[in-house]
Amino acid sequence: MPQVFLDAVYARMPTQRKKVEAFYREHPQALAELERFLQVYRPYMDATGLTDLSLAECYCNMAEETLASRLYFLREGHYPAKDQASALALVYNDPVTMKGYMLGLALSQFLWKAHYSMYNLFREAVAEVPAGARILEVGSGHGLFLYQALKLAGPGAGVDVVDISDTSLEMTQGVLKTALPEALGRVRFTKADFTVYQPAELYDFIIMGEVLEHVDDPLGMLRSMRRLLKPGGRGYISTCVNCPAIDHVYEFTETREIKILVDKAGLKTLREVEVPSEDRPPAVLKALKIDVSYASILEGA
Amino acid sequence: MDQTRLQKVFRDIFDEPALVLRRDMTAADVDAWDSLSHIALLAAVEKEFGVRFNLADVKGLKNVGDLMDVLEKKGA
Repeated sequence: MPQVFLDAVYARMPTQRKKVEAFYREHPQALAELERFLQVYRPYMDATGLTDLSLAECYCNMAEETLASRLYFLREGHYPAKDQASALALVYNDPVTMKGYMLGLALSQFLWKAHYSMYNLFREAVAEVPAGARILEVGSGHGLFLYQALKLAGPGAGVDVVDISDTSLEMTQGVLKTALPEALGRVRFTKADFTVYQPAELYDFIIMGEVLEHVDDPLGMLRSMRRLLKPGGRGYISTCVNCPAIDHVYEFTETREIKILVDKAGLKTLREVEVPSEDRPPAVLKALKIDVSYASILEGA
Repeated sequence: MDQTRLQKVFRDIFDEPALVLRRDMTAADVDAWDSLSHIALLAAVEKEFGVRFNLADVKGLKNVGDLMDVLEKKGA
């Protein structure tokens, strides 16, 4: 059981205990999935000198950075990072900050109801990808989505990864090398800006998890997704509303705004999930500007 | 740092008129102190004491004593 990790989180952040325990009462299987995640990432942790305690530190650092960003957002009315370039300099190009932050984010898939719901939609989407599919992940970060895509899409799938950050690409490769070394030969990593990325072939499935809120031009990213999807191909996006974080740049204030961009990009929504970070009535969520996680499966309109 | 003022903020936010602050008090001791009310608490403390909490301030803020120490450091 991942009790060493959880006890360390609860000791440093007592409010997290209430949130996480309530989540596990509702979704007990998520605790088993956290344990599985730790097993999968264990070789990477060992290779990079991380223990369960240092992983708890990564998670708490991320949660505290999010808390400080939320206080800033409530006080100033906007996110702390002013644009993509400053977020890039602050987080993505700093290997230590990036690695810890990304690991914290990966862990949140099994600790936060909202992220878990989006992650489940992602797994549904990957499970439906046809055998031998060409898959692209945009912004691979902690590597968990890539790992799942390679596991669920089967050995015939070819996967490309495109990212603007060397640190992110290095981390994903490090995770894959230890967690699923046999799949490494099927993955091509490219450092590029997705809005001008020109691959030789189109894709059956494009993953863009937790990217749109990190860029100045989310519409440009969605248009590129449309441009690079094969006819009948599908995309997966996840993002969030009212969700300040150290590296979040683009502020969606309602999920409606995300859907407008999806529509403008020539995409249509097949399935979606929308989950607030706290279980409260809609009026309270709006009044307190509570963050809402949003994910959808898309295809060309 | 005026503990009475801090206590009033806690009583208001958690709607517990009889709450008495202790340095070792944590979210485990107050039913309504959860991740959402924690944000409301810190925002209300900022307002009451005229301070702004940054990342260094909220790092490792696990009990009332830690919060008092941060306020002391900020000269509140």
